[in-house]
Amino acid sequence: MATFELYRRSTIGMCLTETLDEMVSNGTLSPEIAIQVLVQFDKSMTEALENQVKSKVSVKGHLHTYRFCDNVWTFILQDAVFKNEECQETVGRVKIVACDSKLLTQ
Amino acid sequence: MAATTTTSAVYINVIEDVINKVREEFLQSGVDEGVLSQLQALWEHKMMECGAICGPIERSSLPKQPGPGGSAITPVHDLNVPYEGPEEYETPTADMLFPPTPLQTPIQTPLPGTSEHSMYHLPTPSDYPTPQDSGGVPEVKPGRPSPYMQPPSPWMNQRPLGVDVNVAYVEGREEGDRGASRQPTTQDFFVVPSGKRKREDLPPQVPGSGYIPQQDGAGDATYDVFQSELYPYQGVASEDYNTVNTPAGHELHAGTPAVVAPNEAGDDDDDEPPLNENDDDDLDDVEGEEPNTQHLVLAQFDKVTRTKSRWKCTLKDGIMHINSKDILFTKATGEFDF
Amino acid sequence: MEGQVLEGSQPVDLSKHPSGIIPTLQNIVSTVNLDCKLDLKAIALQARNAEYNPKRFAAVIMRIRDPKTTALIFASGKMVCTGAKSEQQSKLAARKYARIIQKLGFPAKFKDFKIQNIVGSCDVKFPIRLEGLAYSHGAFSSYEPELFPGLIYRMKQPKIVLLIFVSGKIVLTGAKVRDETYAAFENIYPVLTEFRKSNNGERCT
Repeated sequence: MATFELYRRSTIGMCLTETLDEMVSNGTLSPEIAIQVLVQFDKSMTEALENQVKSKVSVKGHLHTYRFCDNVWTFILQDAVFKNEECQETVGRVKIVACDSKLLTQ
Repeated sequence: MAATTTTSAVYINVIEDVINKVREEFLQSGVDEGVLSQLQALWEHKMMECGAICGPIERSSLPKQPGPGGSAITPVHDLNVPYEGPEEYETPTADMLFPPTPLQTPIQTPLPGTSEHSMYHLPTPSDYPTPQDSGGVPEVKPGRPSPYMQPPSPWMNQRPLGVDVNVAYVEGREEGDRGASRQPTTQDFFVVPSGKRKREDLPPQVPGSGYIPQQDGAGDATYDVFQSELYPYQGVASEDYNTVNTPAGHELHAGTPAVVAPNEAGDDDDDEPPLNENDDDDLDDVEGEEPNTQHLVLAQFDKVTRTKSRWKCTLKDGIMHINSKDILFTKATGEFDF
Repeated sequence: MEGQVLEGSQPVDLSKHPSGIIPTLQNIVSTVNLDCKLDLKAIALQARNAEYNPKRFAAVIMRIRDPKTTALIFASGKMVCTGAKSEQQSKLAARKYARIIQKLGFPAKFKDFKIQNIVGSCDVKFPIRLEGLAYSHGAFSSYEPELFPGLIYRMKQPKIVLLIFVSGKIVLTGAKVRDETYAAFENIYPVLTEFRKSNNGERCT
């Protein structure tokens, strides 16, 4: 199964990475097995988002910067408003990083 | 905070799923199951610390908590010896998959473990400089995007080709530290002997390609190279891009003529002044650092369209970190004005 | 439509624009040679507001907001700038793009800047009998309403293509200098008045 490393930058991914980081540096884990754990995280996170999440969100904002390269869109929005079924959040600046979903289904 | 509760539940499931699915590999590699429990405990602890999951976690069997003595468990491998990992476990680097040539490689499918972040690796200075060095190099920071996926750990860097994850690391730290601050009082069970390590603390024997990334800002060799390429002849006071006709002359006139006042440059037939700072774009230039933000959305895109200045996109399977909250979505629509 | 009898508060120079209508420049296409090989991926990764999808198009597409334009930047160093509303703006934009490239570390120059095309438009504000026009100017006209609702008029002197719509809206393209656009419009304007639909009695086209 193809996966993105994208989600490693999320809170849960960063916490895992820090954990592995500590365990590798104190000799508890080998780097190789730590990488294996990350790869498994990539898979598990992707599956969880596909299967366990139902929320839909809308985003509006001023597009400060965009980029498309290597099949990844990056948007930096200003004064963005996020809405879902339960809440609305406003942020002055937010970055959106999105990989091409087609690359996982090909 | 209902969304957070949902997020918490998904996160707990993900942690369990990962732990369960790597168990086999741990055992095959001869790693004690206690290490796996330690991994889970540490991970969950960090998640609770930053408020991403809400404890307590109901689980049939609580993981053993080796605590600080965890490192006393005999390591499977002596990290002081460069580890010769099996080849198939090597994470391919973007440099391998996407050779940095003008030729456009068709490879686009992300492989498991493909470090797409490093496709953004370029021999340029960080555009996420640490605050203390940002004043020194205001002119040459290209506005390149942050690498959007970073392995913040040096052990992830042990690859045949060195990948500069410095930039990523800086930002990753910031984002990793976002949210609730770490609570030292709750770390009793988990503190590793060295405490919260910084990259500089890594022993130089860390297995790797010999390339030890630096975290101390945008300096270092790559930056110097970049700067000298960009401003090789900064002192020359009368460069002209439009009258030089010999190839050698072209080669020599690689610098920016920013020192030339536009009205001094009219000594050519073309009456075209060299490019200069008057041509700089205030709004869209590469100058200035990419705005860093702790609000982050990580997702996949289904479609991105633009009509005039109106952008629309549909995203799916996203993790948002907005206003210190994690919110997950299955679909998202975006409407942006450029 | 803009560009009508008054340009801002300025009266129209009727010696140059006898019709009293000045076509509005809508899009300027210019080219320039940056005269150095470019690493498009490096540009896409460093510059803002860039798109690079080599599988679909072998150029970086970059935009700036002022002047609001789009540039196509090729690995050869050739660049196309579109979207500007005047020749000067097109050149200014092209120079800005070139400067962005230069500041990314490429020895970009600014050679052989050229306006390649000027697109103008205007509205004569009366409906036009396109079949009649097509019939009497058959050598220049192509009108197939089932394919395209406008009449395509290929003027020979100046060499300008005009799209003429029933509504009286006119698009002029193909000029290298704006005076060609203006001349073409003044050439066609009497023809348009000749095929003006009267208020009543004319069947609809």
